[in-house]
Amino acid sequence: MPILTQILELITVVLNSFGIIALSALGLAIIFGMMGIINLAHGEFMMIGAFTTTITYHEGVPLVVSILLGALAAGILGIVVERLVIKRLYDRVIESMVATWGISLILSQSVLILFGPHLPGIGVPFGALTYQNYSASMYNVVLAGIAAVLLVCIYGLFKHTTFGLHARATIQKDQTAQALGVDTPNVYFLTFAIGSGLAGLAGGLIAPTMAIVPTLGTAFIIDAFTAVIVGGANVLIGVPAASVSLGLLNGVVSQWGGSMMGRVALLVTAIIILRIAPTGISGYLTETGE
Amino acid sequence: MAHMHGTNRSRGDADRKKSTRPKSSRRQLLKLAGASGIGLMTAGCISNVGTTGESGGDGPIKLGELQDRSGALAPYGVPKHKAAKLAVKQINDNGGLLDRDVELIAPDPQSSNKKYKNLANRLVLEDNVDVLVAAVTSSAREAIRPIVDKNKQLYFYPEQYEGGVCDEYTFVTGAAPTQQVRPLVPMMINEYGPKCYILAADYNFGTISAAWTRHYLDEHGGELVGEEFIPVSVSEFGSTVNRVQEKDPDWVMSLLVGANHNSYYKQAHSAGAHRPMASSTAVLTGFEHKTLPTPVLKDMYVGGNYMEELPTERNEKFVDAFRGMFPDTPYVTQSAVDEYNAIQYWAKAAEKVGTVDQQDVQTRLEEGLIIESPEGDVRLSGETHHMWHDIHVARVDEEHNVNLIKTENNLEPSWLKSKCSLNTEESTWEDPVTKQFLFEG
Repeated sequence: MPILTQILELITVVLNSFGIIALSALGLAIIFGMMGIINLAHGEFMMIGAFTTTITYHEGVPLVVSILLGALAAGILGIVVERLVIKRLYDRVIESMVATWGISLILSQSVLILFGPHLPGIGVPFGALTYQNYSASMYNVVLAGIAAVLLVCIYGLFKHTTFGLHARATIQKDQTAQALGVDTPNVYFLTFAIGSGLAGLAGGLIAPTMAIVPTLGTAFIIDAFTAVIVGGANVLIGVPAASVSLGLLNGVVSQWGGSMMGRVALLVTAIIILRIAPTGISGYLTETGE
Repeated sequence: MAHMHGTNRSRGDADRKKSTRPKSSRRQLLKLAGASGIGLMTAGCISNVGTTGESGGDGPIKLGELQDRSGALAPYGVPKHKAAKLAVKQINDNGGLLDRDVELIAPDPQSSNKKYKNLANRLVLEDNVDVLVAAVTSSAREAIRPIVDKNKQLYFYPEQYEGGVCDEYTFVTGAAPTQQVRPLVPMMINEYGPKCYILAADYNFGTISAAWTRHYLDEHGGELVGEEFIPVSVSEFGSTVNRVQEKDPDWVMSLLVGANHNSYYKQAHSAGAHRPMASSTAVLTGFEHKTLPTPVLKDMYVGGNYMEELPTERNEKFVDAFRGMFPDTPYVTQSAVDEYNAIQYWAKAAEKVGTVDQQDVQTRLEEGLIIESPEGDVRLSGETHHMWHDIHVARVDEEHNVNLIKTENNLEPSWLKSKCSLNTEESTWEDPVTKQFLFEG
């Protein structure tokens, strides 16, 4: 097997891994990093995005619009959940875990009851990249690209907008921020909405490569949580760092050892990183880089 | 430089210092845990009420059924459950069984083997069901077979599998690899070439079926170029697709199981790594040809004892009845008919001996029995507790139509036959044989 082909294969597997981890983790990281809420329903928000995308696509809506509708649906659901449930649970970690876990059960079972155990899928767009006798799905590379763009956009949002400034103030010292006039409940509300919308967007983007079942969120929740914890509290540094490191190791090991070994590698990496840097990559960088 | 962790948040408390703020105190946590515990116990008690008592005399006859209606295995379980409901309705509409109504007791094990065990215990010990029809996966079957054996419960396993079960209390209506895999391998070798890559689900069914595939490859001059075992929960196949491309097989043997594994077909196709495939699991049991976008299953060859397209009058009547009762059925699956057959065998044997006493019914079944199934007139073998089957091989085309190619009639479970004689003195109701012979290739 020519070495160039092997390198290309490796690159695509790593990009694929990075893209999926980054997309899954971003929404969760924002909610956890900003609000301290452990959203156990994150996978189900992704699932809602995927289902909305699939259903609207099969009604004839173009794929790009369907994906955006998926993000919108999840965002709206996030707003509803935030107003009804989360609002009462800021700072109450354990209660928020129980509540969001309950929400995840309600969501997956409701979708099962309403839409049945699975929906007809969407074809993967863009076809294949080929080079001699190597080919890979172009879409996986596109996903990685979208993930990278999203990370940049989120960085821009939090560093260069007023909302971002307020949000960062709130995460650091919420009482001081509030004393200085930042509408912190509004910040939390918008943050949860953005986080849910990003989860829905991830679900919609990944939907063409997956079987559309009500439990599809469970396939991503573990990787998402692992990436968030490994990344640390600072979303802007943490998510990219975690996605790259975990994606790289998962991709490299699964290329040679199979997808099972890839998952083992991902989790072992997480353990090692957390042993060296218990506050996550971004916590470690912050503490040592001052 | 501001420390990034908010020190005024209780989320940092879990790993470091104790909180001085009383927000999530131990007392509250204990209260929450206590309330949840009481809630769970109450829920457990409520769901157990109302289904106890012996099944004898004039009450309804109890048919216990466990098939997954949610989770990764739902695509297989839902059609089976529908078939059970159809079978029971047909029996009851025709005056019942032995002048009694049949009652279907069917909780949902939700694709969890742990729930299978709990629910099997409940059905056998509390509900005292007269017959148990249960399980899609071989792992679920093996999880509950000890319960069946310990309690001498008449049990039907209605699904194609890896073969080898030789159990006094268990009857299998699904096909075994000597019936299903055997016709596929030489056909693929003749059509496409000798090089085969096996993709199998990583549990007993997948590993043993892969061993059978290797056996038939050897027998027919095929060549195994690669083999992978993939856990049922995996849905990312990037590296698998790469390896398939590297090894460049002439065809792929798919022993993939569950909704997550369906992603392989899409991902392989979109990566330009599509190959002709053969499968004993796809299409006929999981109806992927209806849920995956065309043409990812083009040139998939499937072998089985039943497909909806069988052109017999009896099958057309059955399909009409099935779709009449369940209008939004995407496909009438082999799994559904395997379950329908199981209930038919049980009911016919019970009629013939005039009782639902489990030992009497089992004895009658062991004398051999033929039923009029949608798949044809099919015979149950008393010695192996398995069925003869007509095996049909079909090809899926680029529009995902299933086209019947050929039929081999009356294939018997030949491997097991040499090892298993349940209707002799070797195995009795009180002193049973309860094993599974594991083919190792």
